[in-house]
Amino acid sequence: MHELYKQIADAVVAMQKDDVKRLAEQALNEGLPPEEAIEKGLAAGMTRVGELFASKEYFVPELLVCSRAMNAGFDILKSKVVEGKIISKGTVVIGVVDGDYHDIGKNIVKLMLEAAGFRLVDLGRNVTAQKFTSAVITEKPDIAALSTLMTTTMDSMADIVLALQRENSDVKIMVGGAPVNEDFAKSIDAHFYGDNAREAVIGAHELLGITI
Amino acid sequence: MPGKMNPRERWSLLLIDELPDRPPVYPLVTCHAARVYNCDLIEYCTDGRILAEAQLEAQRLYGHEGLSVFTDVGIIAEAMGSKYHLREFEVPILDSPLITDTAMIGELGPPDPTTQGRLPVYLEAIDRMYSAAGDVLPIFAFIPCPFTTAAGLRGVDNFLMDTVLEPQAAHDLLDVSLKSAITFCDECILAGALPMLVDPLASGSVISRTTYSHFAKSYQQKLIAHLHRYDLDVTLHICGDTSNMLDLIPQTGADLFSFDLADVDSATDAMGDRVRLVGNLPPHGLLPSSNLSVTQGTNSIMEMGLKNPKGFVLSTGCEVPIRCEAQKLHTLINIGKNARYEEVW
Amino acid sequence: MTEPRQIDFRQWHRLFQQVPDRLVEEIRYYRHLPQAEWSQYLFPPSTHVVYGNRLLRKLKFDNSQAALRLWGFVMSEGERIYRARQAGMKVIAVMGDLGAVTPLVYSFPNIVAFYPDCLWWTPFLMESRELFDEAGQLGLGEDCCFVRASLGAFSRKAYFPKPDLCVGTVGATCDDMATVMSEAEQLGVDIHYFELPHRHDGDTDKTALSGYLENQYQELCRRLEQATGETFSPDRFRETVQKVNRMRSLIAEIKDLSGAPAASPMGAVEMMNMEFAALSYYGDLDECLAVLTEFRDLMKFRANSGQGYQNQDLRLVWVTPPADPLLMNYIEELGGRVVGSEYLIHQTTPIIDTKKDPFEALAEAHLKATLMGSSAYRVNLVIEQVERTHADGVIISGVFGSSHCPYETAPIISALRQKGIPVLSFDVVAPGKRRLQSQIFNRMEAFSESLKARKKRRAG
Repeated sequence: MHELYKQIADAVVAMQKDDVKRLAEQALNEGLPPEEAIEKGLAAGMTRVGELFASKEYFVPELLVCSRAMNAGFDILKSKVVEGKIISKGTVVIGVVDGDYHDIGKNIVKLMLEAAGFRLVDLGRNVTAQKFTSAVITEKPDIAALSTLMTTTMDSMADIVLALQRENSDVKIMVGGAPVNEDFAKSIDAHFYGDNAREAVIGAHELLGITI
Repeated sequence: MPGKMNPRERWSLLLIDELPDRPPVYPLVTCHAARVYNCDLIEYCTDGRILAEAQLEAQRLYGHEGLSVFTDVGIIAEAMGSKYHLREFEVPILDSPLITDTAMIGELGPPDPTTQGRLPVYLEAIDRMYSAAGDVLPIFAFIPCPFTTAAGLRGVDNFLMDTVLEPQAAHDLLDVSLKSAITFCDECILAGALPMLVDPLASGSVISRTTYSHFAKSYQQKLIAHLHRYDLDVTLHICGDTSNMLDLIPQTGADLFSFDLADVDSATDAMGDRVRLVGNLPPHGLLPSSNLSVTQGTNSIMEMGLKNPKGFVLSTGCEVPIRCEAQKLHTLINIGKNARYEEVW
Repeated sequence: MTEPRQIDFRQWHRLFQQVPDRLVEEIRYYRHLPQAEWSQYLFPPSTHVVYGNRLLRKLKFDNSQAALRLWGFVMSEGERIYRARQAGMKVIAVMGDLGAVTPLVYSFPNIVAFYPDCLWWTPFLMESRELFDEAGQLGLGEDCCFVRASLGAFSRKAYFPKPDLCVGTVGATCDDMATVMSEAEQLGVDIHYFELPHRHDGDTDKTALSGYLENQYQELCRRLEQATGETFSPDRFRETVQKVNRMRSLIAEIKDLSGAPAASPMGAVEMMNMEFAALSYYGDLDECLAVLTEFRDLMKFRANSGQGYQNQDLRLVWVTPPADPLLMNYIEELGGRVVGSEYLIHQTTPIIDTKKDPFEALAEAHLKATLMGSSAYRVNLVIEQVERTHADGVIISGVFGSSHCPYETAPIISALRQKGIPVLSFDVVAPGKRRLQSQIFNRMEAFSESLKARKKRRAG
């Protein structure tokens, strides 16, 4: 692997936005394939960030700053990516459930899934059951990911899962968020519960039968 | 029945290191009261009379042992200028944060609690509850800690990033948030409520021990010190997972710790000789859709709680969900009320 | 020092910010114990508002540090008694004695006395019927004096720890206190009955009475020895009595200082709290002395510098403590000042002779000022106060169901009227009866108006 990729990944982990930008430009100048720089540099860095997050060495502030660094590099590299060079592992529609506007958790999961090679359709915050089901119809995702931070809106999550199942779609449903746990996920018939973003990435692979 | 303590009596014994007949039972019945009272959340969050009546009504229904004045964690940030969106069926949420650039922080000052934002709603609610039932029921005013208010002023993501990228700006914002919290606490006290400090964002689910120590704990400490100067017993509530910071909690000076995702035994090990514990049935267990056994869960929490040397309050780990199933909450409360310490005398 | 003013709890909350940290840290009770966070007590009324003392929102307080300290000391008594027990001290309840036996109790080491009857003002402070309703459920309804609140407190077990012994004084004391005691006994409280002889008049054989009282004190002493496991020590008794005498002198001195200056130097409620310290020293004799000493120093300063409240010109003597402090505040608002008081606690006033045999000295002191007996004795006490303080009028706040009130209020009124001294008499109403209370306020207003007119006429 090219030394630059490792440096890009390190800079992402070290939260150094300017370094990431400089290194991304350097990679392009040296004629390295941008999609490779994204995968082996930025995404690899974010995977490590995800691991640090899962092992509770990094927390939300660090993750946000890392992703800011990653995005800076991504902006530079993606313009040079040749169409079709990046193959998506699958599509995920993601949103914070009706009644809840807290999207830190959702954004982190989105970030990590994107970094891992999934195509993300972000429905944003306060997403109703109706909005979720119509997105499932139009986007034909493989996975629907639901998040909530508040105990007060956990029932919305149950409602949305029910609505999706009523649509009889094959979409796999994953849920997460501070008040949610395995038991609750089971009780509302979600297919997967992730305790954190890293688990969400593993779960998305598992749900689609992809080996990491 | 003669000889039965009232909630005020039970709490007052707990707070002077005496065992009451049993631990107080105080699930965090907040906006769920609006549902009991059959009003919408906008009315509940903007009208002190309605908030008070809804709280009293919910207390009459469930018989829990404290009134809670709480709508949302943005209450102070909103009064300082952030915009919050009020909704009929859900709690208010942050729409647009006031501070879009850290350079604006220097112009900020504490709000006037008697006129700004929805702070007067709290004060009116407290005053009404205190007049109606203050002799027998303690009234807890939930005050957002500086860390949470700062996030409401700056936007959550931005503020969290500030702690890494612009720590000095974060501290400046925390300082003014602290002053605001003190100002608001003072008015709540004068209206008759005991401040209960809530810091949902200072959770171990969101920030590290280091960030907690530098940016949250030190301000919790200062706020608690202010309240201690008036000899008030302070409850600190932190949502989410606090298991990685339990040992740090006593350093805040909190007299009671209300917590969510950590087990009572671990909390007892970490602070049980100094801090009274308030907890912690997972709120989702009270939802109609949940198949968690409230009986089993509460029994096991109670069993651990009764052993906490400094005392225990049976509660939920966080707010009772708005759509909580009444029967489930009754179950929790009944288990609490049937528990017993050894004979008082 | 700041100009004397009466301020509300809101103003005190802000003013408290200016009280130096050092003082808040230093002022503590139970100084003989290792310092604990709980032993501080210099806190403003707002602190106690939060814990349910709702009346404090309506009261006015003196703005001095000395008064703040007194309030803090009084309001912390409940917790203090619990802390005493936690620290291993013996807790002795003294009921119905009105200060007679406390000097003996405090002469035992590691002991604290408290006066459960004082719980009678808790319903007023909390604006709550809880303790009265509790007593009602146990059979003591509105036909019993407000001291029935203490029965409620015994029943609830949340206001003081279980006493190691309860000294229940009967005989020449209020009958309703005795009723409370017998009901409390049913709840399992260990009571040692102590019988006080009635007031004597000139012809009574004092020797016989004295002998009887000595016996009573000796018997109590034996019970205290049993309860504490300690032996009575005459030396320690003398040491304690010296302190008690100092306190009694301080109280007398402060009372004199309150009436003398042209402007009122202190609020009536603070003065009542100060005077009631004599009953059981609010659970800490040494600290109580320190509190009263600071209070006396302030009163002296104010008297010497002529400082006092503005617009309180009607000089009044208050007879029988009102239980509801708001009434005192109200008369002050109407331009009254309480220059003298007769709170039925004469037993706390005599100086005890430290050279005599302890029991003889106690008996002798007691006989100098007994509570019950010929009404003429108490009538004279009131008249003497009125004359000494040049009072414009007298307020008698009776307590319905209190045994002494129906017997003594009428003769006091008639004696005062004979002397041409205006008097207002009413029964204090229990909390929650706002309409009745406003009737009393109206009568107070009318009384103060007529006194003002009378004064003007006389001056003219």
